[in-house]
Amino acid sequence: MKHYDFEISLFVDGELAEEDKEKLFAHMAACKECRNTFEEYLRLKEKSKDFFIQKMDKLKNKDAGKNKFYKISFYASAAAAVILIMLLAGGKERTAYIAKTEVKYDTVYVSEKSESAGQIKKLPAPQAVKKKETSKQDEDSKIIEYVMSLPSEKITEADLVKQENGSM
Amino acid sequence: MIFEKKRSAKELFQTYSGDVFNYSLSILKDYDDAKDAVQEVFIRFIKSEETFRGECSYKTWLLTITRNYCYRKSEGKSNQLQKIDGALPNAYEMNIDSSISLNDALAELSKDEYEIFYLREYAGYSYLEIAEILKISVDNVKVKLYRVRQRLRKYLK
Repeated sequence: MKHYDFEISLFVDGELAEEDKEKLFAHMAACKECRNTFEEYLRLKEKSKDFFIQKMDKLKNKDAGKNKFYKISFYASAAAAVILIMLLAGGKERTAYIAKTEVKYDTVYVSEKSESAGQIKKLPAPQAVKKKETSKQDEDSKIIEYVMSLPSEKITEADLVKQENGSM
Repeated sequence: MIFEKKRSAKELFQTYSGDVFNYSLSILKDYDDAKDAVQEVFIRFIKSEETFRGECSYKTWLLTITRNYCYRKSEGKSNQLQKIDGALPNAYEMNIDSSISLNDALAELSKDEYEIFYLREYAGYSYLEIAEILKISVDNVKVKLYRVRQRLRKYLK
């Protein structure tokens, strides 16, 4: 029986004429050897391509050795830029946060001195804060005490306002 | 006229400089030489553009120039190399049917076989393009590729 190795070689390259394809398929359906050849040619094609790709990459990368310093410095500066941007972005956020706490404290300091400092009562709702002259130290200790006595881990601005009013 | 010529050369450079470079690299096997070759090929192309009669595509014409240039350039080199390489085939013949890997077999292909296989498997050119570049007939391309495959299939594991 005639084998179709030559036609298979054309077929794996996509260069076999349409009318010959039918003949080849019909033959391959019956011929195990030609199916085997077909499979081998496909594998050969794949492996050869890998071989060339590897070889060409190697040749291209030979030059990379010469310019390695520039490449490394390029990547290093790129990395440095990324880190710098991240730091800048991070710094911005932190500043914003500090500004927030400052605002909180501003609210806290607008408070009234209580005569029964230390005794803490909670009011159901925050009321308008009246301003009174008070020593800063007293106020601070009061706030700290109150904060320490809070059961929850989360202290909100409202809690602080409550405390100030509660000791009225 | 001059402007047009320049522009078309530029377009061709943008489209095909990669192909020219890879082909040069496959023949010259040196990065810097291949880069020089790209420049040289396009200079030659611009100089000889008027003689182009459209018998083949610009691509194959460029690659033909590439081939001519690279082989002339590697002639001096290969003369030196052949003396060294001469000892190798014998060493391989001794253990030809033992454990030569496919990659070894591919590396051992003759210059012509290597080139045609490169053009087909790496560059992916059609038989017609290969025939034009190598200045052989399409039937010849078919036969050559078939023979290379028949030889290499033994080394598949």
